[in-house]
Amino acid sequence: MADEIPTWEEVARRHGRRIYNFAYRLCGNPDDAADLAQEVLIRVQRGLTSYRPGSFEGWLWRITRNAFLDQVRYRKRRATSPLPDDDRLGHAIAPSPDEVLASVRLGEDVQAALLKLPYDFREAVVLCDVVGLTYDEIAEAVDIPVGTVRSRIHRGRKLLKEMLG
Amino acid sequence: MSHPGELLSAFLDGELVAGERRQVMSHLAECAECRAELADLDAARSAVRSLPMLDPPLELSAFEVPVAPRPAVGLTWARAGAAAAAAVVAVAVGLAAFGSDPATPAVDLGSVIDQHAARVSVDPGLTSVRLVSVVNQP
Repeated sequence: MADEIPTWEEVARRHGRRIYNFAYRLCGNPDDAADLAQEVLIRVQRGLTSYRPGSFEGWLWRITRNAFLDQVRYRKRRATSPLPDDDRLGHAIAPSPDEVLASVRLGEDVQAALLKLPYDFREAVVLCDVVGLTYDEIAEAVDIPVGTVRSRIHRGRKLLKEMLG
Repeated sequence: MSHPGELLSAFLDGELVAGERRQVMSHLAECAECRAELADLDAARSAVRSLPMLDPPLELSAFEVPVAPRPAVGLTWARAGAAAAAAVVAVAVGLAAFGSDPATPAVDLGSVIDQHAARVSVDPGLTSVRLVSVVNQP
């Protein structure tokens, strides 16, 4: 795989679901996640013509996270659909016990805590624990040193633990 | 060694070199505080890793496969029919691309194609409008 240039269909088939989940866990919203995944696939389609065999994971996730950040900036400028830094936890209605159980089962408490993390920490944690990248791959995708990846993941997890109790 | 701090997360992830790993392990054997921190980090890590993998919406997979050149503004019925056929193929290819993950239930392509074909026959006007939006994607 590392020596071959994949087709767009192969990228969509092998990585489409992870791209969607990356976006969903970063923004917590299925519509925004679908928009982002679509934008990523368009960029992949364009970029494949200039892609040269190498670290495909690093290349793909660099495109993915850049597309995500572009979408966040674009929406902030338009001020229509709030994305990651928006507080989505401000609805202070007490849930029923059944709702609490369902929430735990679906990971909504974890998702809510993720959205409260500073973006840099959230991105590193999601790339590591949702997408499944190595620290080296995250460093390449985000264009930061491996030591910074290590630090962001660690601090992100500590904050998550504090929030989740 | 002093408390390993952020090395603990890298330790959990198997991202330390052998020398660092040995140092962390020998420190953990003596330091209850760091063992507790490691347990907390492991709990946070497990919480995120246990989040369910979600399936992308079907319209996402159907939307983005390039299938046909950009049509002229005025579609004739014959060309609309050709575009309709192309769009059904696009839906099928797109669904196949996203639906073939082994962890995902297989999509019944036949019924999806049948549904779209039915819309072509029942409401060609509506379908041709939708098709223009599909095939005009850059």
